[in-house]
Amino acid sequence: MVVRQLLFQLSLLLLISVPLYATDLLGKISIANKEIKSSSMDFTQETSTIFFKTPIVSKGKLYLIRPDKLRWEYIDPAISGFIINGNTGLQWNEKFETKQIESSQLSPILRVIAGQILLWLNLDEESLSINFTITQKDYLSLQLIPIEASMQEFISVITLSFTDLDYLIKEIVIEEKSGGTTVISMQNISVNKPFLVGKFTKP
Amino acid sequence: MTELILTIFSYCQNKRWILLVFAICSIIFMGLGVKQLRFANDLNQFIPEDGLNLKDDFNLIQQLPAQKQILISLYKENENVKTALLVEAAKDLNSKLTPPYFSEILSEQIQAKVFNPISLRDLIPSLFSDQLATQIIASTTTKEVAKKLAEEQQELFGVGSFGKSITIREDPLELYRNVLPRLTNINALGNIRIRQGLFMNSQEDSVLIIAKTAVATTNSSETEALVKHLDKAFSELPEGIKADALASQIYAAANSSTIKNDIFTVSIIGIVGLIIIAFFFLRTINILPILLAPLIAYIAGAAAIGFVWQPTLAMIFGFAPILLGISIDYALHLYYVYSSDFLDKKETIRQVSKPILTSAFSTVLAFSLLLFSSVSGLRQLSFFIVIGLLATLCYTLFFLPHLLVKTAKRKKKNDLNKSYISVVQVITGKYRLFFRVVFAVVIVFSIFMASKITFQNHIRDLGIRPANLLSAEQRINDTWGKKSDSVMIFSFGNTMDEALYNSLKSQNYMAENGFTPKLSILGILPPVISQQKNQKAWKNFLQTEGRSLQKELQVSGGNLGFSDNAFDPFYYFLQDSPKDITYENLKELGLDSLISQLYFINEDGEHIVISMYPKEVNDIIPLLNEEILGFGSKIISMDEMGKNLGSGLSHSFANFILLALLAMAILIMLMLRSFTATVSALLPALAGLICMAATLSFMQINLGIFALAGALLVIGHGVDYGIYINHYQANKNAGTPTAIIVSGLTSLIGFGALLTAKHPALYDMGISVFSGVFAAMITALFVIPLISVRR
Repeated sequence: MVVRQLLFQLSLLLLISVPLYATDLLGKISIANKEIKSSSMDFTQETSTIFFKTPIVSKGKLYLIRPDKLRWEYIDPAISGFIINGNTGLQWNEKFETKQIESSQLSPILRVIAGQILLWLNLDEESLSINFTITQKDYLSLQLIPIEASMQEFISVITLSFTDLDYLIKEIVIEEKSGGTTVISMQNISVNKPFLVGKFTKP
Repeated sequence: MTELILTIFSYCQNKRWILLVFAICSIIFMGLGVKQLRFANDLNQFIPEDGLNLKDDFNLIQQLPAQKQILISLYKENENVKTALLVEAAKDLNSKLTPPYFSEILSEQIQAKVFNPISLRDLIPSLFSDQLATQIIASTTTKEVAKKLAEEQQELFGVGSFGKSITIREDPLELYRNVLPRLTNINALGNIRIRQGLFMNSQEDSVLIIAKTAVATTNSSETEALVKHLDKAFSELPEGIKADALASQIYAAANSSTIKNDIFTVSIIGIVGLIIIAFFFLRTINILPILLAPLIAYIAGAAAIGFVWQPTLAMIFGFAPILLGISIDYALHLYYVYSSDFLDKKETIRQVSKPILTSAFSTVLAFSLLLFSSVSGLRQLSFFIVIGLLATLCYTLFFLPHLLVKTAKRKKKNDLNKSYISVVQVITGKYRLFFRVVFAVVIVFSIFMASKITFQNHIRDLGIRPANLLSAEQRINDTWGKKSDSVMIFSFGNTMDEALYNSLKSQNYMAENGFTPKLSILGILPPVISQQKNQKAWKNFLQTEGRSLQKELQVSGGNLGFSDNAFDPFYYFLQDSPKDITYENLKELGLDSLISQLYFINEDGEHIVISMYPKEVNDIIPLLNEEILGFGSKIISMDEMGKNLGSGLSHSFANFILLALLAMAILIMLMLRSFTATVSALLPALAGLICMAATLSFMQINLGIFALAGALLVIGHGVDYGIYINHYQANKNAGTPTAIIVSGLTSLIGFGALLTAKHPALYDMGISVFSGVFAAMITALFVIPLISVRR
C-alpha cells in the first residue's frame, strides 16, 4: 500500500515537474533572446546517411533579423543558399563559378524547410508549438517532435542545444525517419551587429 | 346567360339556405385542397421540358460535387499579420463548421492523407504513353543519368540536403516530375499549396477551406441559417484575419433575405396606400363582401393546386398579386354599378353580367393557354389563376348580390363620376384634335421605344448579385487561380472505367477539332484499356533499357560517393510488375479531394466523369454535340445553358402573351359580335403593353419572366377596363368609371410599392404593372371616349 502510494505521488510529481521544467528552459531562452534583434554565425553541417559512403560535410554562414529575415548560405564545398525576406524570397547556387539565381521565389519544398529553420532560430514558443510537441531533453536542450503527418514522414525528432548562460543556439540535430542524421553546429556567433545593405535582397 | 344568372338569383333570394349550404360545402372542399398543399422550391419546374434538354442539363449541373461545396478563403488583412495566426484561425474555423450546416471539411482530410509527390513515380508504368515514354527515355540516357546524379550530390551539400535521403533513394532521377504537371489538370484551383496541413496559397497569406454542405440551394430558410452560421463564425475570427465565402447557397440566401426585406417594406407601403384608397372610395359596410372576392380566388386557386400538383412550387404564390388584382375587378364593377346608379339588385346583375362574363371568360381563356406550356411551373401558375378566376366569378355573380346592402353614402362616388364626365367633355370637346395628336405621339414614341426592348439573356439576371458577394468571388478566384468551368463534357458509364473510356473517346474527338481540356482526370487515371497498353510499353522499355539504366546508376553513383545499395528502393520499383491505377489508389495518395471534383455518381447510380474546356468551345457546341453524344458523353456549356434558360423562358412567356391576346380577341369578338367594340375593348390592354415595354426599354431593363408576369396583369386589367368602358359608353352606368379608377388605383398603389424593392424580380414586376396598368387605365377612361367621339 505504501509502495503504491509512493509510486502514485512520484508519478504525480513527474507529471507536474516535466512541463514546468520545459517551460523553464524556454522561459530562460525567451528572456535571454529578448534583446536580440539580429544575429550572424558560421555553421558546419554534417549529414550521415546509409546511401553515402562518407558523411557529407558542408560549411556556411547565416544571418538573421527577427522575426522574418533569414539568409542561409553554403560556401564550401559548393555554393548555394536562400533568403527569406518577409513574404518574399530567393534561392541560388553556383554554376560555372557564378552565383545564379535559381528562382526569385523559394521552391515549395525549400519554403517549408526555410520556414522551419526560421522557426528553430527564432525560438518563438507560440509558433513552434503549432508544429511541434516541445519537451526538454536536458538542462540546455529541447526536443521537437513534429505534429504534422507530412513532416513526420521525413523527420523523427529535432534537438536544439543552447550555449550555457547566454542561451544562444549552439547545435541543431535533425534525425530523419530513414535513419540519417544531420548535425548543424554553430560557431562565431555575434548578435545585434549591423549587416551590409542587400544581405536579404540579393545573393 | 344573363337570364340564367337572374333566374338563379331570384330562386336563391327566397331560399338563401341553398347558398349557405353551397358556401359551406365550398369552404370544406377548399379547406381539404389547401390541406393537401406541400411546398417545394424546385427551380427545375421553371425549365422548359422540350427542345434543348435544358431540364436534364440543369439536373446534371445541380448534382455536380461543386454545388455541394462552400469555398472559404481566410486572408491576412495586412502584411504584419503572422502566418501562425492565420493557421490558428483556420483550424479554429474548421472546428466551427459543424452539422447540420456542414457535413465534412474536405480540406481537413489532407492532414490525414498526406500527398507525397514521390508516390507519383509508381503511376508511371500505367501512364507510359508515347508522350511520357519520350520524356523518360530522354532523361535516362548515360549522359543525363550522370548529370542528374551530380546535381543531386551537389544538392546534398547545399540547400537540398534536408529530407533528401528518402527521395533520392526512391527516385534518384526524379522520374515523378514527369507526372507532376498532370496534377494541374485535375486541380480547378491552380494556386493551392499544402502547408501546415492546410490549403495555402504560394504567398502564404491565405488559407482555403473547402467544406461540404447538405443544404440545398433551393431551401431558402436553410441557406439563410447557413449564412448566419458562417457570419457568426467569421465575426469570431481574430483581429487581422478576414474571410470570404463562395457558394451558390450564399447567393440564394442573399436573394431570399433581400426578398423578405423587400416584402416587409413593400407590404407596409402597400397596406398604407390601400387603406387610404379604402378610406376615400370604399368607406362602406360592403367592403367586406368585396374583399372576399380576391380572397376566395386565392384560396380556391391554392386548393385546386393542392389537389392536382404535389408538391406545389412555392414560387407560384409569388404571382398571387396577379390573381388578386384581376379578381377584385369583377366585384368592384358590380358594387359600383349597384351603388352609383340607384339600381335594384336584379337590374344591377342584368347590367353587369355581360361585361363581367366577357372579361372573365377572355382572361380565363388566355391563362388556359398556359396549361399547354412546356414549363411545369407555368402550367401550375395557369391552373392557379384559372381556377381562382372562375371561383371569384361565381362568387361575384351568385353570392355578392345577396351580400351587398344598400347604403346612403353614394354622393362621393357620384361626385367622382361627375368629375370624370367633365374631364371627358373637355378632352372630347373642341381640343379633341390636340389630344388625339398627343395620344398618337405618345403611342408612336412608345412603339419606337418598345421596339428597342431586349430580353433577359441569362438565368442569373433573375436574381440579385450583391456587390460584396461579387467582390468576394473575385478575390477568391484571384487568390486561388480558380479555373472557369464554362464548358463541360460529362461522360457516362455503368462503371467508373466505362465513364473514363467514354471520356477518352470524347477527348480524342475534341483533340481532332483542336481542343484540349483544361481539367481532366484522364492524365492521372486513364481507362484500364489504356493503362494495359501503357504497361506493355513500360515492360518493353525496361526489357531494352532497364539493365543498362541500373548499371549506369551504379557506376555514376559510385563515382560520386553513393554507396552500392543507395538506390535499392528504385531498383525494386523497376523490377516490380506494374499495377493498375484505381480511384482507390489515388485516394490513398491524398488526391481524392481533387478527383472528386471531376467524378461523381448521380442519383440513378450512373458514373460520371467530367472534363472542362475553355470557353472558345462555346462557339461550336452544336457542331460537336451530336458526335459527343455518340461517345456516351454530353457537352454542356454553363454560359449557354444560362442564356437558353433565361431567354428561352422569356421568349416562351412572350409568345404566350401574343397568343393570349389573339385568343382574347376571338372570344371577345364572338361575345360582343362587333369588330369596333372588340378593338376598342382590347385597346387598353395593347396600350398598356406598349407603354410597359417602352418604360422598360427607357429604363434599360431587360424583359424577363417577372416583367412578363406583370404583363399578364396588364392584359387582365386592360381587357376588363376595355370591356367595362365600352359597356359604359352604351349604358352610361355611373359606377363603371369609378370601378375602373378604384381598381386601377389599387393596382398602382400595390405594385407601385414594389418600386421600392431591391430585388430585381419584384422591381421588374412592379415597374411593368405600374406603367402598364397606368397606361391601360388612361386609355380606357380617356382615349377610348376620345377616339370614339363623332363630330
